[in-house]
Amino acid sequence: MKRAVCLVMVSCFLVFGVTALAFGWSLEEAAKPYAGATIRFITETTPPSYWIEEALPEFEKATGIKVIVERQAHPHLEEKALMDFAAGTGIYDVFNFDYSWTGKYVKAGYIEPFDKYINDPKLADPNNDLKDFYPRMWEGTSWDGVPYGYPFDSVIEYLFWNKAIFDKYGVAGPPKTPDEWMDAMAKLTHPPELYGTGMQAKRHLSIVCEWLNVLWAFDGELYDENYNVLVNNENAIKATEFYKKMAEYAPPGVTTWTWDDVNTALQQGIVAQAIQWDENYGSMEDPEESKVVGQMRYAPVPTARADGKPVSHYGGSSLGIPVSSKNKEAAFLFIQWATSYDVQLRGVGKGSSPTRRSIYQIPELRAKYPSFEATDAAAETTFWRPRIPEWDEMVEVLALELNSVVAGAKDVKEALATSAAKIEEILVKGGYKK
Amino acid sequence: MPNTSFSLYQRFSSWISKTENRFKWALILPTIVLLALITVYPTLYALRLALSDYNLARAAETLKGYIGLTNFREILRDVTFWTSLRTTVLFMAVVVTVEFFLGLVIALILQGVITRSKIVRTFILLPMIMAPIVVGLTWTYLYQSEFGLVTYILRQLRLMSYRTAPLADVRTALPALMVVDIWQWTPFLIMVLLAGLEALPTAPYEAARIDKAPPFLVFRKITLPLLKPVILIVLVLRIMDAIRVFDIVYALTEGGPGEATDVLSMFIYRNSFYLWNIGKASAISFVLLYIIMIISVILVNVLSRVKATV
Repeated sequence: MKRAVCLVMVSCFLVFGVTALAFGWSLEEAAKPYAGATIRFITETTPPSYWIEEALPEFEKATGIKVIVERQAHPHLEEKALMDFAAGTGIYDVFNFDYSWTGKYVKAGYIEPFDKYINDPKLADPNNDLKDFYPRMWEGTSWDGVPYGYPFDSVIEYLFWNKAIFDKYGVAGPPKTPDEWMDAMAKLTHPPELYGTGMQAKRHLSIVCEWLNVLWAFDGELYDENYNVLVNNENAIKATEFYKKMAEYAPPGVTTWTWDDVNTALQQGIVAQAIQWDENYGSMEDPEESKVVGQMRYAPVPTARADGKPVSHYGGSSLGIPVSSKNKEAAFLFIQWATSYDVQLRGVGKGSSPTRRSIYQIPELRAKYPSFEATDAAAETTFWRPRIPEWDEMVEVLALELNSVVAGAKDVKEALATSAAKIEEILVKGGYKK
Repeated sequence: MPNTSFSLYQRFSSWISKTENRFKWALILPTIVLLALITVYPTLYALRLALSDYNLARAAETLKGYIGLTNFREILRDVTFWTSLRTTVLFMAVVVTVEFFLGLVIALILQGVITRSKIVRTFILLPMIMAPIVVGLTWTYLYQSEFGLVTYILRQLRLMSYRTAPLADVRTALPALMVVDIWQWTPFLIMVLLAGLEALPTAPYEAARIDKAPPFLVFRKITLPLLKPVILIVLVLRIMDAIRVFDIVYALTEGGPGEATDVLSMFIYRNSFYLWNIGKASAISFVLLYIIMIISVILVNVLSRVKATV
């Protein structure tokens, strides 16, 4: 009798199991109604975008959905996207947006809330573990608790330091405090072959991002929770003086450099260290373009913070769907695929910049890519820049003033006073501060 | 049966002769329509934008719509506007002056010597026919801080320190851009002035030769006065172009370092594509348009009064 019950149970299990498999979610099944659709994906010229383009044929084959990838430099990405969204043309179906843009696009009503897709059993993959995305990146994708996409590109800015160069000159690394850091820069500057640090000091978003790390390292802030501007307080002045001094140990012309130039300089071993975005880890290990394979190490930005919190700067981006898109479901399937565990994992070293914790915790990958440990540690504690729509205007102000400081056209106090006055005006105009 | 085609032709030609005036208009009409579509309409639309609160990055319901001259008032209060206006005027004044004198000297040297050589002509025209963005990128490499050829030469001549680079220094960035513009547009002056020189009547020169006038006097008393109309035309064209300069600035410096190369077009670009404030950007465009118009009207007035007289 017992055996019979067992047998029935086992066969029931088998039958249900097989049925469940047959009727379970699959990308092929989910994509059937959208086969033949063409979607256009606008993204930044970043390593993960290149990886997605490389992996794309498998998605197209599985779904019958054609994807056109349009890569743009950071400012032009928005230029194209905003024109399309404002006019409601519906050219783009998938949009790679920086987390600092979330507020702007949500408030303008340009991007779709994601919960309706996440909760649609026909579209959402039940095996997609959304909890695996780092909380900060998930938060960056969301506005008022509602997600507007899936985190696509983990971009955390911290210190890239070349261990081989540090060792060669007998400098202990990584530097932990600003003093050690400046000392290392001085010891590692041997022009014109080698400079103590790279810098992204162009009048560009890059200088603002880089400087924010130093500002935070000196316990500075742009403004407090009540929007009282702090850019010209004592800590900010100290931080900016430090940032200016860094330029003495940087190659000539860093006032025209962005993250791209810093990356090349790191790859060529012209600079011993620099603050740089973690998504570039793969390019350091690529023997075709890098002279520093196996030499790069990663650490938080040296800090003098009272609370001792490690400093890094989160700058990641997510994939979302414009309200004007005419292929929203197909777009969702693409986003789900592009940010899936499997696709992110297979792209490691080929450009993929995973946003899922589980990938960073794979021991073999940690051994091969030293940045993985650093990113995993930073993802919990990383600082981030303002996400209010007025941030663009503040970038304009800060980029000009900071670049003027590094270029020697203005002194620190004057530049920060001007920045503070202008940021105050922006915050008042935006209605944050009376 | 009457010959229809013949009678049609007759009717047509009689219509023409009777209403020649109307016919003229019929011929111009397509051009007028085209011009209205591609210049008048966008200009009026831009004027509407300039008078409204229009920002791409803000929700439609938060925009105020028509706001009168607020944008213009904001611009005139903006310090950046005045610095970029000053930079633009300085840029224009220097490049047009240098290009003119260089162009005139080279045209005089080349006159009659090698003008008929196609190769020389091609080489002279080359910088001018290159796409502006290509010019920009080429010069970006020449000015590059590590391996740029110009940077290298400047350092070898001890004119520039190893601590800096042409586009990285607030003192040298604007002159560096001026050099690019001069390199690109002097050929235009050469070609136009050469054409002007070759078209001059020979009689005054023969008279001068008989009188054994010294070359400088010939130039000052004959060539220059005869060439005046041509000179004024190229100056008008170059001034209008130089005030609007954008492409090389965008490709080489984007207005930096600091505000050193912040020209008006860059100011417009940043307001529209970094700040999404299309209303304000349109207003600045109008200010730029007025500046160009005023200068052009003055120059064209001068031009209409100038006659090629010896």
